Amino acid sequence: MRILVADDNLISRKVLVSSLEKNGYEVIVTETGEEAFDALCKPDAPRLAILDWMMPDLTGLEICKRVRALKGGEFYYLILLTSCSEIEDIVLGLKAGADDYLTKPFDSRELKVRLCAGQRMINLQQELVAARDELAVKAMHDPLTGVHNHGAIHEYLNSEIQRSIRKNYELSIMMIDLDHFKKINDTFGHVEGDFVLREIASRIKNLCRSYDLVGRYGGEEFLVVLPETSLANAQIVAERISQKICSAPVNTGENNIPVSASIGAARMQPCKPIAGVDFIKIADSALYEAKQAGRNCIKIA
Amino acid sequence: MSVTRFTEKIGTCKKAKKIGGIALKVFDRREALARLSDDAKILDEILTLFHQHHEEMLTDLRQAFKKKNCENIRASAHSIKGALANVSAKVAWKTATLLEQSARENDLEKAGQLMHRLEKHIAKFISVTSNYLVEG
Repeated sequence: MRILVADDNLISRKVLVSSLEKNGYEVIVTETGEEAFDALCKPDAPRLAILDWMMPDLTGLEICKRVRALKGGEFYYLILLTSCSEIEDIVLGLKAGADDYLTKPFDSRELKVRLCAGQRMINLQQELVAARDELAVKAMHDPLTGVHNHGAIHEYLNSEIQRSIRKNYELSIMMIDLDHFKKINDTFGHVEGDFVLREIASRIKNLCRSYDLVGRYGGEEFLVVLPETSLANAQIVAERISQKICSAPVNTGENNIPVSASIGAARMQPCKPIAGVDFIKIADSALYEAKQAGRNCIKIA
Repeated sequence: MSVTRFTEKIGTCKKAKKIGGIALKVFDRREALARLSDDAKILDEILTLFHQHHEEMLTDLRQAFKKKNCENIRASAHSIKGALANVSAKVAWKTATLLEQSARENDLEKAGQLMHRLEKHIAKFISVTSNYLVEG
C-alpha cells in the first residue's frame, strides 16, 4: 500500500518514513503542505496520507479542508500528525476533514494499528464504489443483450433532442424489429431465442458509431439514436444494418437460425423540435409500414 | 563504530532534572526504543540526524529572537520541540514546550530566558549522546 507523508521537519519525517517502510508500506515523501496537496490531486495519488498539522506554507488542517472540497468522489483517508492533543485541537482537526489523528511523538505500534483501521476504511470505500458503479451500469443496461435498456434510451433521446436543438443539427432514430421472432422462440425454444437477440444486438452495435446509442426497446425491438445524422444518412445506416442482420443465419451452436428485420427510420430537424415519445411514435409508424410491406425492408417517415 | 552500537552503548540515561516538579531525563532511551518497536537502528539514525541538524534549528530560533518576531519564535520552538520529542530528549523538550507557549503569549522576556535554557539543555543532550560515540 502507498502512503503519502507530509512533514517539514527532517527528524519527524525520518522517524515516520522509517517506521512505515519497516512495515512494508511504499512511502511518497513531501516536505511542504503545497507539495502534499499537489501530490494528492494527481490521478494516481495514494489514498492514505499522514499530514503534519504545523507546516509553514499550508497546514495539515488546511490540506484536509482542501481535499474534502475536491470534486470527483475519490476517497482519501487522512491522518493528522500533531503535538496538539487538547480536545479542542482534536475536534478542530476532525472537523476540518481528518479521519484520524496521531499525537507526536507517535508510538510505532499505535501507528501500525491506526493504518490498519485506515486500510479497512479504504477497502470498504472501494468496495462500495465498485458496487455503486456496477449498479449504475445494471440500471441502464439490458441484462440479456448488454445494450441500453428502455429507460436509458428515453433519457438519452431526450437529452440528444435538446442538444440537437442547441447545436442546430438533425437527429435521426430507427426502430428495428426482428421478423417472426415469436416463431423463432416457438420453433427453437427461448434459450435459442435469447441467443438470437444477443447476436442481433451485437451486429447492430458493431455497425454504429461510438456516439450512437443502441438500446433494446422491448422484446425483439431495438432503437438506435443517431446524433448529427440526416435522414439520407440514417437510411444508409439502416440498409447496412438490415443487410448485416440477414447476411448470415445466427449460429447458436445447436442451430443455424435465419433472421431478418424490419426498420422504421425518422428524423427531427432542429427548427421543428418534438418530444422524445412523439419522435418514437413517428419511427414506430414507419416500422409498421415496413411490416405491412412484407417485412425485411426499411421505411422512412 | 556502527550506529546500532551507538545507542546500545548509550543505554538509558539515568540523569534526571526536575522541571515544573516533574523529574525528566536528559535522554530517555528506553522510551524512545519502546516507541520505535525496539528498533535501535532507526533510533541511531534519528539521533545522528539530530546531531547533524540541531544547530540549524537553533539558528532559526536565534534569528527569530533577533527580529523579536513572536510568531517565528513560536514556529521555530514548535519545530525543535517535535525533533526533541522524537529523540526523547525529555528535559529539552519540556523547555521547548514552555518556550513555544511563551511565544504564543507574546512574552518575549520569558521566551528569551527559556531560549537560553533550551540551548543549554540541547547542548547537554548532545554531550550525553556524543560521549558514548567518543567512548565507542
